[in-house]
Amino acid sequence: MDNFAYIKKDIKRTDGELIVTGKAGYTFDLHLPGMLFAKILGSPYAHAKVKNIDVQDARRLEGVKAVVTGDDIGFRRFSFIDTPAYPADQTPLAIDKVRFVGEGVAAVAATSEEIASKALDLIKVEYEELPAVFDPEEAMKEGAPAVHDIMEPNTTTAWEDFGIPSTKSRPYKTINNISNKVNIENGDIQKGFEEADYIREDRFVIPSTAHMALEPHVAVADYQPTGKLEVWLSHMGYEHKRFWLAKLLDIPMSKVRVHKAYVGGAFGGKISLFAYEFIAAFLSSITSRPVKLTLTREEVFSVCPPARRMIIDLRTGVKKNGKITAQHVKIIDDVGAYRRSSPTALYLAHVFRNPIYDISNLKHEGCGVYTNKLFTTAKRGHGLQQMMFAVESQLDIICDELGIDKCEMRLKNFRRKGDSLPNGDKLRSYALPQCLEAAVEKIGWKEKYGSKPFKGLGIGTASMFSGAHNFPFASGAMIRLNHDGRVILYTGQTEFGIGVDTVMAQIVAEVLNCPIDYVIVNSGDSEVSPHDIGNWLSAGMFVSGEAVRRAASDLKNRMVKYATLGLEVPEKDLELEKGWILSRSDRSKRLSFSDISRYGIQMADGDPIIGRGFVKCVPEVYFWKGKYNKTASLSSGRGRFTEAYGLAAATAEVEVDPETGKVEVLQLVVADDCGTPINIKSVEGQVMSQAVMGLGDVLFEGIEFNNGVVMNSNLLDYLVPTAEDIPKIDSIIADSYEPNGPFGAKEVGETSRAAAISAIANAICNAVGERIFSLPMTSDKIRNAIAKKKGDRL
Amino acid sequence: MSLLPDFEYRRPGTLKDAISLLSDYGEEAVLLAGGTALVPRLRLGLKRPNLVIDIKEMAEDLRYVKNEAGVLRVGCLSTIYEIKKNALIRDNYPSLHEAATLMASEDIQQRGTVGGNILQDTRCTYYNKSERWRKGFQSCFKIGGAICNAAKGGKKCLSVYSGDLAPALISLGASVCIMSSDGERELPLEDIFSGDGSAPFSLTGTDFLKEIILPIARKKGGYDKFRLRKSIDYPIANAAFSIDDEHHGRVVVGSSGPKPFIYDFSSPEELNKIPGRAYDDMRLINNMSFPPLYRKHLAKVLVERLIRRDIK
Repeated sequence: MDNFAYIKKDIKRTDGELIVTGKAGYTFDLHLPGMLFAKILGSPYAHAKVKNIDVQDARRLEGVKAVVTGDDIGFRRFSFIDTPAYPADQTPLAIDKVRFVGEGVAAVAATSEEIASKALDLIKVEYEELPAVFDPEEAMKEGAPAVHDIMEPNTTTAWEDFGIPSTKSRPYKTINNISNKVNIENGDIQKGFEEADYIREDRFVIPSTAHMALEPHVAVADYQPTGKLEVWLSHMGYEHKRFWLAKLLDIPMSKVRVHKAYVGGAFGGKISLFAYEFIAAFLSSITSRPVKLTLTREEVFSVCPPARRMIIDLRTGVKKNGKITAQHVKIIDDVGAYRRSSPTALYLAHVFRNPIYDISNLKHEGCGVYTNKLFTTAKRGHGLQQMMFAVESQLDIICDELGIDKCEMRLKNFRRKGDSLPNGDKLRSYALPQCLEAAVEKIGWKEKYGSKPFKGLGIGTASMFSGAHNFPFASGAMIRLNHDGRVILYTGQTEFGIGVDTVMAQIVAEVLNCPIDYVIVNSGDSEVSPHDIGNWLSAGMFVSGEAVRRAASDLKNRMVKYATLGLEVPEKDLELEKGWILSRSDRSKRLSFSDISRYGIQMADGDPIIGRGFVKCVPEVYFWKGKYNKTASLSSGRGRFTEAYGLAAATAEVEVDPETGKVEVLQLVVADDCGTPINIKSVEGQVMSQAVMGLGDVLFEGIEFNNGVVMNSNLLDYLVPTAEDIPKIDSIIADSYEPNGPFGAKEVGETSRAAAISAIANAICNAVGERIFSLPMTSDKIRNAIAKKKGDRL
Repeated sequence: MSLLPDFEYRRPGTLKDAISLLSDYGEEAVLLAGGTALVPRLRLGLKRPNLVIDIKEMAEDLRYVKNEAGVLRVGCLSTIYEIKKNALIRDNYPSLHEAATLMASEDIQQRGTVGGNILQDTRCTYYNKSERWRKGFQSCFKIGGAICNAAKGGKKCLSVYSGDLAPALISLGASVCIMSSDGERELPLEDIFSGDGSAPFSLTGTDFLKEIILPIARKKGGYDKFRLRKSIDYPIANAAFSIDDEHHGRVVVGSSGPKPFIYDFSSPEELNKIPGRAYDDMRLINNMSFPPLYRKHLAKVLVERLIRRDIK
């Protein structure tokens, strides 16, 4: 039985008061003396040559301090993934041509937002419209308009800068708009299908959905006369941002300080460098004033990447009893105008299904395809929700066709605790079967299944890695003891709603056995943090949390060592209790933490006593001066990827109105295996928020494009669930323990959404008795499916 | 944030002053009541008035629900919330009560006024967008141009009247009292709709909708709207139904184009034909986020359900 003081307890957020009183510092609210306001002029065309830009009138407008175009910035390439095989293909402002509606062609910095806005209207751009392509399958055909031609890196690629072993840089010529490919094979796919009693082949289509973070994308940049850049961003991890800002500005990385800022939500939409962030920094460097660039909500919808658009062809072979013998996945990732993270996502789509279902004969292939649309990114799982929607939908179809129980089918095909995946990752903690059984029981599956027409039940599952050997590879943490006995924790973690400061304080307080308000957390400052993996590789708890635990442990050892000297008592007699170190045998022999601090300064050569801890995401993997070990390949799937997987299963009950197709979600149960939940309320909050987000993804959400224009670019047209739309949601945290995680914790925050999406989608199809192969399942689609089943015309 | 355009702002204390300002500024002035409809339009650059006339100062005189001399008079500055909470309306005019209840969300109801809700502009997915967004398309009829972005080859604007209250009020036989520089006049509420989406109301520059008049009667019936979410949204389809004890009444179908469709009936047989007639009559184009056929189908279903609910 656990006897924790803080772990697994409902600790109130340490920064709760700051946030609810409006005092927490968000970049959106930041104001610096002399600050200018910037705005970007976007292209109205999806595909066009930029012939000429006349900025004279804009420059002359009173209050305008700078106007820049693509030519002023030059060919500075950047991207999410930048490797010799896939060199970065994006520039901050368009140079020769624009490739999507809204792509920036010019930017203005002025003394007010109004003036900046008026200046944009005064910029005259001459375009030559080019034929555009919007459908990825059309884009792959011979003769389709080419979104990109040859990409020639003019610098080293990021991969080379990170030291990742790869072949030399070379120009990348796009053919048939293919941006990247993946091909992962395990076992013998042909043999697997020959063994199958039943084979099912289906196509699933998933659109982009928006992240809808409360805080829009915003950056404040203040370029100093010393050649140092101070920035405040709305982001998910400082290492990536400062790397790219430094590279593009051609200054040392350590001269970019990403300041701590609260972030009003991210959900995967604020990971790698954005054009607007560089533009703010560039404008600051040429005006010598701070520059703030805030995107409007409409701009966030139109020019900030939403979740990936995928077409998934899935072919699965099963035995009569439901055991999967083979699976062939073909993904078309409709990348949009720039490749960004497509190589990662295509690979990850496989990684996410891999720990869930034991499929020995497997082929996972796919390609990214350029189209003249807004590019895409991760949303609480990079390709996770898309892949699991396809896999879980098809499993239900197979169960219906073969008359197999839907829960039994999953249990039969789940992996087991202790299994090794084909790439060598080990499933040391694995409570997915318990999650599914709990979710199935809680919703009352046995009693309710098939009981009433137009009422349905569905299951969904999902998994997520906990950190991967991708730049910046590892996390460090430092804890300093102060004169008053309190400690300051230095961690690079980003706070965007997850409650980072609180859980890290819990970990430290638990190790040091001190009151939690003894722990002050300094997080998210790139100049103060030792090194941090960030919060977009799902490594916050498993990697950074463990680094924090080790730092606390190191500090404790140092404090105990000085306590033995100060008390003249052997170490094994000492224990820590409520901010004191005392002798078990004679409790009057004690030193406070502040006594220990004094001892270090007075008696140990001035030692202020600093604890250090560090963790590598995947200890086995390394590369160093030509030697490398088990590095993961995004295109072939070989190599070690992660040390732990978070898992979730969900069940949903829905009722469908047969005349209108409207869906009422009656109940949603989400069961999460996150190992040990460090802060239970925090974990439940994550699970709830994911469930609601998943609900929106199934019932309401999808970015609609019309010739490359985002049609639903505001909150009346793009519908996210309101408070009244939220059904009864039960959150179950599985009893699980991840041996390599801090106090047994691993990833939480992404799996529940994908599991909820599949569960609700499956429940709707179960209610209606007809399969819908795309998202969102809006009421008109459902009504059409019902009518089709009845043989009606609408 | 979209920015507000520049404009002058005045707060007249009396109706006479407001009409005098309207007379001076004509088409260049707009009336601001709760602002829930106007302010978004200003931010989107859909309207660039020289003068915004804030009439909230006149609330004392124009906010009332009073029963006098055989009619119910509702002042134009009564909020939707007040209508929803009014027991007399709930008991005697159920379609109006339900329309007020289903309008947007409660916080918007507390701000929005009856006059403002009736006089809301028609909507279209190509029109209700920012100026920057609309730059990617041609100027349409409603903006002052010569084409329709929603329907290729369209000859007139079919933007959609999406108000909740008007269909309910029309089903109850409401009239409106219009004040202008020429004096006062009364006309049936349905007569203020022009049927042309580019200028949905046949009111002139100095017309001021002062009050709504309902004949005193006890009606049965109701109002329903279809929206994907349970709050906030405009209707994708909506309908109002009012009936008296002699099986006489009216069905009004909204979200069907620039003006509501009206069906009078005086027998159950006539009533039961209305859902089918409405379905056939509605000529919708792709100017909302749902397909036209589906919206027609929804309208038919809503009317059928309203009838079924009240006629046992």
